[in-house]
Amino acid sequence: MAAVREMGGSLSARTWTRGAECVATEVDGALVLLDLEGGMYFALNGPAADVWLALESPRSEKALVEALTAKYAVESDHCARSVAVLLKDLAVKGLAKPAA
Amino acid sequence: MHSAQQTMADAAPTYRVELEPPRMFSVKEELAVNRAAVGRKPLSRELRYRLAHNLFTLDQFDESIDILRALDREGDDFRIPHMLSAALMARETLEDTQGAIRAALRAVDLANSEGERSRALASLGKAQLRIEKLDAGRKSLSDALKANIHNKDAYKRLAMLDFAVGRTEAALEFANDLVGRGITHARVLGVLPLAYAKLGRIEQAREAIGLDRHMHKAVLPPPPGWDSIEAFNRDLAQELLAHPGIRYERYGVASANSWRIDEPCLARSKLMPLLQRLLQDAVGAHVSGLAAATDPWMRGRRPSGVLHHWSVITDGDGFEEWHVHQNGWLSGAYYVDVPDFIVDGEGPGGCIGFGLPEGIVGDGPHEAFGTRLYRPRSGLMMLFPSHAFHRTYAHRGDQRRICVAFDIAPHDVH
Repeated sequence: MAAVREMGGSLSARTWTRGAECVATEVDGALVLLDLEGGMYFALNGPAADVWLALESPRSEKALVEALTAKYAVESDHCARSVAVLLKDLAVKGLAKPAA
Repeated sequence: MHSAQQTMADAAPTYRVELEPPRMFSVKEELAVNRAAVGRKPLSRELRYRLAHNLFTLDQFDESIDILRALDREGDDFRIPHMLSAALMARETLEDTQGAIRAALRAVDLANSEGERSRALASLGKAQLRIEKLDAGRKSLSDALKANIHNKDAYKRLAMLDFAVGRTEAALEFANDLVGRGITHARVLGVLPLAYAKLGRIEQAREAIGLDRHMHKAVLPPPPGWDSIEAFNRDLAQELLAHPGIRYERYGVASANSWRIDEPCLARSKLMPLLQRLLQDAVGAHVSGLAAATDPWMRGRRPSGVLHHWSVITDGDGFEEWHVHQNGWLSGAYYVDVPDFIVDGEGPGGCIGFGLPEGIVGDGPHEAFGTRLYRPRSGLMMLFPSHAFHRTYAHRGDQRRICVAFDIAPHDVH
């Protein structure tokens, strides 16, 4: 839960969207993103790729967790913690941001 | 109880082998990403440059040249005409060589530093020599060395020009002058034995290479978690053969009729990182145990070096032409899979040979120097000075010989 608290507020209600403009290509089962402004490459696997793809339109953390728990055999609380950590990481890299 | 060797090793400074960070993906995969990116942002100069660079690396010269020419018309950027010159040279037509000269001249004008100016002049000299403008080529290459005395490409071509026109004594004098100034890269040290041999001084040629002193062979232990090096090699061979960056033939390298993997260790590779650590440990221990500087090559030893590797996979007709590794200080090969008919064979097929190229020194000196053959086997690591000329021989069999070649490069190269 520590990671969740770091994000502050009622995280499950926070809405997220994509950050930097990226082009995405599937490479050997991973989703490779190229940040078109910064020029950096990123590789996302499995659930991380699902989250980034879902953020094509703004989504709440709750909606993201629901989508992932429907697809993967993962316990909801664990999934929520993981999504919070992932979103924080994506935000640091400029790939996701809280929706305005 | 300490042997003499252990005592010497204890006294020598520990040599550190550093690893390059693994690539996220192969150049082929990067090309797909960059092509999609250019489709999204067709006006981005940086993305188009990256795409042209990927295409150039993958020998897709026509498309690379089209992109670079368009970029060059749109603005001034040293990188563009410099790469354009190299891509045009790769097509090997008279018209393209003349275009390469024009591009190199433009790169000289756009150079932002003496280093860039030196690189552009070296490209210019290479193109001029190709169309027999020997005086102009010599001047360009000499100017490249004035701008950066460490430019290996310029030095190599100047030395080969000297050999071609019979200025062997001059080539030897210049090489010795550079060694005296502490410039001991593999091209300089590689020219010394060539010059000695051409002058009939065969024993000095042998001494200049130092193969007797510096050749090292060892069978590596299996990595942790593996019962035997044979079992590890079997799985490593599968990883290499399934590598997304594997390609047949590549322009501008010594390999002929061969499969190559330029960057065998990707972030998702499972076994190549284990081999890297084996090589890191084995090379570090070997170099740490070498006696203090006894020759120019050893005087070029630094406290550490970077491991750079690639893989060469040969069917029956694959081989490597004579070459040195100009970016290395120490070079080597690790044999992942060597078919039994090579291990148990008697001829040169599948072997690595050390000698002097007959195309440079002539048949007489080549024969007088001789070629020393080493027979590979799976699990064997060989280490030798990067300036030692070597080649491999087609094995003519129906199985694949798989090898990981590597350089230990001084930091200033990478």
